[in-house]
Amino acid sequence: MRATIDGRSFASAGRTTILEAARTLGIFIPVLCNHPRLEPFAACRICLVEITGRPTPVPACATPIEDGMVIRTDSDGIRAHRRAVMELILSEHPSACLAGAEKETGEDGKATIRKTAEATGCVLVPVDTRCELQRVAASVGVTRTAYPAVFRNAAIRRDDPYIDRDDNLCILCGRCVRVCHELRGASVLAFLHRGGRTAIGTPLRKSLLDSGCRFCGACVDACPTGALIERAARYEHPDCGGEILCALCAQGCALGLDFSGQRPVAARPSDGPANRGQACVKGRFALLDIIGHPRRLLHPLVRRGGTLVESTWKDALETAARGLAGSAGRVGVVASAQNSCEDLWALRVLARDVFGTSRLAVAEGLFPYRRMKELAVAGAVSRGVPFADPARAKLVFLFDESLLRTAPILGLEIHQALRKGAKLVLVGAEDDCLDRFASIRWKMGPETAGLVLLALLKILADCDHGRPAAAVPGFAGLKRELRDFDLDGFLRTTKTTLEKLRRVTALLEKRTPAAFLFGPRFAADPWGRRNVATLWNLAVLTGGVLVPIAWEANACGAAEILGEFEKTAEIRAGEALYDAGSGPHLERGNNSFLVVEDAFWGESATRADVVLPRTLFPEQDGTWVNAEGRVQRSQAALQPPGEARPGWAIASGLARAMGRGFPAFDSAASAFAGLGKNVSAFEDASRELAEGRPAFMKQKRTAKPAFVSIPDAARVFDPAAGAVLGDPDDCFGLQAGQEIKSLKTVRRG
Amino acid sequence: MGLTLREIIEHIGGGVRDGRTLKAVQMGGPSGGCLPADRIDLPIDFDTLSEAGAIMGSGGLIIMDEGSCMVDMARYFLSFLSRESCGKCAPCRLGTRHLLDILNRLTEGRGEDGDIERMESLADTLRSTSLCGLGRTAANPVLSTLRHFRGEYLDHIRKKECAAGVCKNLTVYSIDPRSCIGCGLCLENCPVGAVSGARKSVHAIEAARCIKCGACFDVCPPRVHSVRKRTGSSIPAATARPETAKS
Repeated sequence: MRATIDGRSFASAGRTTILEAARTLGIFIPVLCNHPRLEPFAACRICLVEITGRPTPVPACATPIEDGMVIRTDSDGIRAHRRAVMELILSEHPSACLAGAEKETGEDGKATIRKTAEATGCVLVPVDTRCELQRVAASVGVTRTAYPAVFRNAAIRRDDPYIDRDDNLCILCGRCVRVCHELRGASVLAFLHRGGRTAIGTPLRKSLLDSGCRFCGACVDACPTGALIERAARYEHPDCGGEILCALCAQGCALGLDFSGQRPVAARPSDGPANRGQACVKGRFALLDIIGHPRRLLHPLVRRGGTLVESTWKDALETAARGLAGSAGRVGVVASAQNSCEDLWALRVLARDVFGTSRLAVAEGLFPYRRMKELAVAGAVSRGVPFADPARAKLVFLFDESLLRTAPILGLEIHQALRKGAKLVLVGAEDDCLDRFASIRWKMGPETAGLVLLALLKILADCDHGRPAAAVPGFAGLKRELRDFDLDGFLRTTKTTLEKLRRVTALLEKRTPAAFLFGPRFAADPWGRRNVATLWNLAVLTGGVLVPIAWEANACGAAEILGEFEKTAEIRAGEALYDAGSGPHLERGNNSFLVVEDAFWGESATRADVVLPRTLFPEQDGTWVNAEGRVQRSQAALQPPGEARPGWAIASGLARAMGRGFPAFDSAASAFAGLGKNVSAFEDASRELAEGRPAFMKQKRTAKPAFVSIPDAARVFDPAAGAVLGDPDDCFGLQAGQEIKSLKTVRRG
Repeated sequence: MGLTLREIIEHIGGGVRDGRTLKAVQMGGPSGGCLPADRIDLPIDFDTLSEAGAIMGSGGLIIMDEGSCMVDMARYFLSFLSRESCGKCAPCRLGTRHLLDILNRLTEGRGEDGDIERMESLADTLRSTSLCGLGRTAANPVLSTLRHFRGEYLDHIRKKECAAGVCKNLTVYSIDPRSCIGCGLCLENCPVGAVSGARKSVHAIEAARCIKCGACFDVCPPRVHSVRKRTGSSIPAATARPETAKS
């Protein structure tokens, strides 16, 4: 297909819009309602272009290029039309901020009829510098409007956490509505009324909270004006920015931080490879509350005469070294999967080579990855699954995970798959945002979910419709095992019908490939082995893929780096303990000597002999492996609070204090280099990162996929017996979902 | 098809009522156009009509005599179209609104020089940039009346005059004391009690209370013709228009 745009020729094989074509040629066309991730809307009429032979201009965003088109984007007529439309749009938008002298201060605006702008907060808000409408108006060449102001006189809605809504500034481009519906699947925002009364809002004008909003902030980021705005940053004037990687969960979102001087004022999603411009409430809104929480540890503490007192690093490290040296070889170490790869590697070196211990446990348990590792003999790969895989699935099984909470970006991919026609089978005890998308919904906990899977497996294995499953090793053994499974008894106890099971098996047979998503609750002890083994067999039988979901930022990396971490994960009482993890999973017992490395003052710190304050992810250089197995590097964007140090620096300092030259890392890079040399999964990552290429953790399949024996088949577990998992919103010692007021409100809603 | 408008109006429709004279024909529905009386010999077909500034559209015909104000008619249709706008695209949502705004001003006697040019440029924006047919044709009532009745617009703007006496703000009702016979019909029929005077004595209209409904004008016996409707420069200074320049 060939076309001419402003005299330059454009050729393309596929279907593309005039706007996209112009952008590839570097030709600027102003847009307002267009958003690169959304379907064209063609409402703002700013992107109009001329096509020879057509009587009226057409919107570039919604018009596909046709062969032989001659397009002009910048004729006098087009420029006049754009100005005229922009003037109309501005008549609806308090626009003192645009007009010449008033632009600087807004002072003049106060004296005019457009003082509404100040009253509703455009002139004096950060949007004044970021306002897309302002930029587009400038590019179109409009500074004033000839029309009388259309002022909606709407009250500002301030009844929601995080987000203020001001209808008066809205230009009805509909980006928020579409991003909420198309991209996030929340469908909270909608157009209300019609004609001149059109407004953006929620059904029945309820608060966002009452309308099921998850406060991902996508609407705020999509808004080209200040109509939807983050309350906390409303009156800030950020003057510089920084980029970080969000390590509040395992999605690996790239975030941008806005600074006013040295002070961070807001975080917003960047166009990272994992999140592509999206984020969730934690990264978008709660991040600054979390890292600036009053419970942050600022200085090293040492117990003197029974009480913890502030101390110097030198003193604290020496005290810790003395205490730990006293029980050499019998030191337990607890790591956290929220830590960076460098921190984890330094801790592992510290534990093995300095403390001489093998009792290295992960605070959070890492059940999904541990289960996948157990299945490695049958051909499972524990490395994360690229988000694109479940997005391609025709059938999605989700077990007991609130995706929008524990894996929000994966949740978006799943939502896209559902939009494209995939079916969802949801098994879980709690209500979930995805409930309304589910074709089949089982309300049951993970202790029972495994039985459902067994029943499905039995039905499918018994009526094998020529599937090549029989050729897969272990099929005969599996059939033998399943023979003992009491299907009728299961139907009786779970009040499920055979029809419902058959509906699912029909889906499993017809809609391939299937993706089976499971998280820590499903994989936790004591039922996890049974559950995941059954799921694995089901996946082998139907050609599906297992997608482990971890809650912790570096769970995927930790499972590799800490390698053969202690399976029982119990720390023996009475021994010295170096506790660098805050997860609730482990029973720590009474320790003869306790060193706590943490970011927040908490329960374990109160019992500690030495407390070492560590930095959080925006304050340190580091590398994290997200749930896809994607290795991503983050640079420090913030000054550490007080004297906090990164984990690898603390480990190096402690080793030196114990008279050992190893590990002696002087930078995050040297720690990562050590990791790359010693852990095969990271062999290539270092080079790939240096070359700026996408880096993934390497992992080989060790065997061909095979069926595995199912432990505890048909055993009924007590739901209360499950391992303690804490909350996906926990950040080190901070229970963010409980302790940050607005986040608590959102999580409850 | 092929009939002339005159045949439809005079032969099929029976002609204009009460011996009044035909002023204009509005055709094609709200976003159609209108033709002045001297064009009614045109045959009805697509090309001829669109050339003359009207359309077949819905096929509706509205026949207007000299008692209809073309500015008011444009305002009426614009108010309809403005309400009909779905609100999606900016030109239609706001363009119809601002057009209506100007027309409202004109019919209220608050027109300014430059309003016609403003309307023409808005109409051009609407026609060229709107998303759908509603917006693209929404300015037709204005454009076609401007084409054939520009003088009436100018009268509204410059002379503050509505020849048809439809635009209330431009119209003043008064009673000619020389011819009033004091029959009391206007007194009885005034809905707001703006007419004063006793039976058998000369009546007067209190301008401040008058809502210009025209009831007195309609009931005043034709042979008396004492209630007068005046507009623009013909308004006597004594009964000058009360200032109603509220925004």
